[in-house]
Amino acid sequence: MKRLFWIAAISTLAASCGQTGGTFVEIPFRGQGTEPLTFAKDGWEVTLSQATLGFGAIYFCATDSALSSRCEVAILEYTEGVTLNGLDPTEQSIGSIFGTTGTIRTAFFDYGIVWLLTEPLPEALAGVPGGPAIVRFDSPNYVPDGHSARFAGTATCIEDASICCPGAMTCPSSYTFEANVDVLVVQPGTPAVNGARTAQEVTTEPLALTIVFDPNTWWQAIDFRRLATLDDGAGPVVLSPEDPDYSALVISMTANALPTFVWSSPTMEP
Amino acid sequence: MTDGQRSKVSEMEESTVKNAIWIVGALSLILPIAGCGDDQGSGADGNLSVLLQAEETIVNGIQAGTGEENILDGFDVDFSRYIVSVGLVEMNQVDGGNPQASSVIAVADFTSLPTTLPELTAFDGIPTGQYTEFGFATPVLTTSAVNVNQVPANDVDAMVTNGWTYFIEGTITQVSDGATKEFLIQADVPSVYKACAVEGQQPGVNVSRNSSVDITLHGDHMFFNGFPDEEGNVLRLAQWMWDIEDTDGDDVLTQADFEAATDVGTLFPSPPQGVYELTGGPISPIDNAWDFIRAELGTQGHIFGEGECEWSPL
Repeated sequence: MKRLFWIAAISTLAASCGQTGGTFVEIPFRGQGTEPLTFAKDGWEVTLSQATLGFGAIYFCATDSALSSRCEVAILEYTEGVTLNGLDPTEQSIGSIFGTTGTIRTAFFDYGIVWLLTEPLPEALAGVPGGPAIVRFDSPNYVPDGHSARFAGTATCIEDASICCPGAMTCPSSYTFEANVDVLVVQPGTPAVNGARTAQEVTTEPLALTIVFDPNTWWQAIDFRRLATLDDGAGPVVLSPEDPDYSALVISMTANALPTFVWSSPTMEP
Repeated sequence: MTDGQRSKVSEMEESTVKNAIWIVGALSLILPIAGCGDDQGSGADGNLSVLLQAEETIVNGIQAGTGEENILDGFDVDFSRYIVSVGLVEMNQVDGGNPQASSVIAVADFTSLPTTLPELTAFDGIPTGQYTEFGFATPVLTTSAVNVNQVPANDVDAMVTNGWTYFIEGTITQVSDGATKEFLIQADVPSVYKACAVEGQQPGVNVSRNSSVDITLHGDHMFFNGFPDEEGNVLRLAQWMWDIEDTDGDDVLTQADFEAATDVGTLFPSPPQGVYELTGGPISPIDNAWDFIRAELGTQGHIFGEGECEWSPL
């Protein structure tokens, strides 16, 4: 409530300084995944079988800058957490985003883990995988719980073993892999993703938003040759934060392959 | 959340907004009286000199250590050349009033700028007051660019021919054993900086009868752990550069070597294992170390030392 008050209050203050104010709006918000897409990389054919995503909070801003300090007041916001099936290409209801009319140029968001400036540790929001929970990443026993994403899949060697496992004595013909990812930030008070581009004029006309994720693209950044060296035949290869490919996944999720925003005029709302 | 809960929340929020409207309505009446700091002058007797300034990291290098400005993982970095194209200053007062623009493009070696700060361009006889929007560019060089401090003609020609906006030469030293590597960064990063502002002050620059603004180029962003809002929150690290292999064996790290370093997860580890956050940069995707360098170079423009500007590719 308090946050919404400040949106209204500060928007009006800004209006008196030459910017536009806004009228309250509520916009249906949905998520959408991308169906599993088998792809080939470095001799390996890869298919994801699971991509369970934690998402939220998200703030939509007028600034076209990626500097969150240039967005002191969000135009729209969704402050809760939600779990989405990243491999389901159908629309999945998230809820509503609230705010005011205005021009949107950027979005700032988290993958289900929010670290408020006032809190000593980040928190996985209620509604995301394993949430709500305090994320004690500073503990020596910390293991990511997959609050942001839980992945599983299979890699099959489709080339000569010398290509799939260069320099290795043995090479599995196939292996399964898993990754539980917590997308964390270094500094409290900062979002995991800054300045994602999305242009939309928000008016009082009906509007809906769908955010579309493609986990297949995220995994195309992974070194499946390196993962093959971790396979011991006793179960899935599990990515840990020490593995460079864990970081590669996070980089894909937060910088290199951001979800896209699809604004539409709803024809029929449930 | 159920539909019932959602409906309840919506009602509460709408009610809160209605209450807020009364308060902000009153404030809207008060604020115009108080003024919004636009301070738009009407006379045409303002003069603004736009000066070039190098951050001390360019002039004195960046030292290993534990201080706020140090490289934390044990490396010194020194620059012998830090040549940059800069110009195309634009500014205006509130609501686009009294727009001013300069077409001047200059090239300067920021390792050896005069301490008196050379002038890039000047606006004379313009309306005084606060120019709430101030920006500039690091554009592709042209043959007509002003050579600020005797940058060698060969270097300038190479920048013009290749579209480089940055020509940086330096040395990274591993403090633990004194081992060194040379690096040469000749990069095309045409960028625009706008909405420059010093924290705690009115955005932009104030123009009076005799005023000046420093365009400050930073030199340490290549060693940042991301693209942070405030440099007070940044960490400086150089292990990634030290780990780059000299793939072509020419004893200097160059674009080809940086491009060959594609294992970004190893170079720039994410939390909790590392501290890199590659979100929000001006160049995406960051698939190798060269992408990272170009993205960081595209954020280095400031005013008055630490005043931040919004950056984007030109």
